[in-house]
Amino acid sequence: MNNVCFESIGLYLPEQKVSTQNLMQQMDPPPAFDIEKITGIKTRRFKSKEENSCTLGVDAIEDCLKKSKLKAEDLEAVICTSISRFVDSGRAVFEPTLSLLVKNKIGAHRAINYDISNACAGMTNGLYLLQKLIQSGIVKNGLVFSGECCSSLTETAIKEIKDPFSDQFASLTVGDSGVAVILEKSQDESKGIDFIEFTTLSDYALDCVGLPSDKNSGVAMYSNSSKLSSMELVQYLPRFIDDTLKKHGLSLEDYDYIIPHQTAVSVIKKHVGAIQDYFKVEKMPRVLSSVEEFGNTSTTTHFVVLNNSIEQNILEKGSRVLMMVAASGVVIGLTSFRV
Amino acid sequence: MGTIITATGVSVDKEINSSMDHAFKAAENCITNGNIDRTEIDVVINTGVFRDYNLFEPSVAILIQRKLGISTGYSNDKHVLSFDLMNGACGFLYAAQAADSIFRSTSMRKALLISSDSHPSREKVPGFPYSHLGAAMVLEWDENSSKGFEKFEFKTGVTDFNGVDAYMDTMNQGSKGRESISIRKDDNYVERLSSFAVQSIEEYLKSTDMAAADLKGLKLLTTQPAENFRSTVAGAIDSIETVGENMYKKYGDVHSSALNVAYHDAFKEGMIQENDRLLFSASGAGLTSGTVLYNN
Repeated sequence: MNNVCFESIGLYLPEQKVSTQNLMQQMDPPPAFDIEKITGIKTRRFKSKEENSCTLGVDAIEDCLKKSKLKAEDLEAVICTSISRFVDSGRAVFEPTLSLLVKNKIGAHRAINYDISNACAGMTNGLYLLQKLIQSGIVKNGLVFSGECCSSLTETAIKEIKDPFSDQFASLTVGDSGVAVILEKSQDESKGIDFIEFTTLSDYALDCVGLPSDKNSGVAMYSNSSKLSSMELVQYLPRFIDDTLKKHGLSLEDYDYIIPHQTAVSVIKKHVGAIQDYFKVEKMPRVLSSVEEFGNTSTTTHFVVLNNSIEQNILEKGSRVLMMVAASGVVIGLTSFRV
Repeated sequence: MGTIITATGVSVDKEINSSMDHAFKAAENCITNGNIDRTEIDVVINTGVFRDYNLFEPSVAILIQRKLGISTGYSNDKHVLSFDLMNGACGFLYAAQAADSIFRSTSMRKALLISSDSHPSREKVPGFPYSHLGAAMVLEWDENSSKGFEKFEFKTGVTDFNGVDAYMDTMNQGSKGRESISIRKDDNYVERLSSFAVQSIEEYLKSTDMAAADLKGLKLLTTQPAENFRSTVAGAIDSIETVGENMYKKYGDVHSSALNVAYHDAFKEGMIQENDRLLFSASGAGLTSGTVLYNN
């Protein structure tokens, strides 16, 4: 019996709402395109000056533990998956790990801990590793969390975008957040994780890179949008879904909901359209999204949607969900689970 | 059945100052040394900490995967997972545990673990405390073997003592963020770390309930953040002997690659034999230690 399930999910969204219009007004020269129209993103949340990757993570963990039957001291693993590694307004740490700092902060002293870095696939990658630790009997439960300060990318992009074809445009679509997920072994076979699977298309490894800017203080993300949105790449998602579902004896009809990577309304439509064309189905599973309101929150994006869908009672008991990751690398990931 | 080491490789060329180049070269050497079919690699895990240009996306593991030509495009039946696992000098043992748990619960059978550290500027910078070096190891699941890793144990101190703070100050480095890293070490770090390592090893050996005779033949491999670290740790534990040369004397502090390099060199020099029982002990990452037995 190797069933692992989501024991609880926590979310923290900073209070400050920032509109796409507001960002565009800060740009000099003003962008040649209407970014809200192109992406469908109306608002996103930005952290306050006092918040950072650690505090966003801890706030999400507190929410998660409030909904959990476990206490921090019961946790046997703590895995941090943040891409941004800020411990204050500017310092990004390599040592000690964020997982150690947060583990000590919440008092999860029994837990093994480490940090995972796999771009926007981080949360799913962390959950995969925790699932394997549980399935192989090393731990009984654990926590995967991420606190993402993506607004630091936006700050750089606003300063540096001077050209309508800038490779920093994707940095205007992001938002800040924290998520936390507790997994545990489950006796109840009617719910839990069916599978988590990945493939890595490293041909595209240099088409989206994040590193400190070489023009200003701060960090930046540079992406080759035309290559990353090419139909050649988009087509790999339905192929991977097809190969993976076959491997696990499932079909697209088995799903009630899909949660795509929350990059932009237009990108989600493109991905969903490609899946529908590939599988030649008239009716797709219901697509859950929150990108219009919260933007692309990188590693946390699927769990922002999932948490809000649970809180709004959208997900029916017994329904099956497919989460689809598309991350720099390029990493394609799928998480299939029953609620 | 167990997770066994099937190949190792290192990159120690002093002219190389790029962590990426070191990791790639170590991985190529490892693949060649073990005559590994790279199409059979299922997982790539990078445990290096200090990387070229302070890159934070994508993972270094993916860049190495690409350079090695491992599953670069889409394949219907071969899917590779690559990611970075960071935990200072202890990362290697956590990655070995991750690979072991993946092998035990999936059909994946082969993992490439890589590590390297260098100053982000890709230059030799005075004051940077870690040697520029890379290491790689292939771990494989062997269904019929009595060899391999036994129980992994990890322990962290209940303390806010970090020992080392390594960070890039993104707000105060102007346009030099790709070339800058700040590292502050507490004076008593190595001393506290060695005491913590001794305590962790003693607890580990007690928990395995090992007979005194077995303990006598154990060969200890440790991370070596200082010249006398290994001897201090070994000296505090009855009947345990170190194996291989003093890595710190040979290379300096090789940080995330320490255990991998220690195993590689000792094995190559014939100091590790078939059926030897090894004890890997990793220390670092704040006050963290990892301990695991390995049947060679």
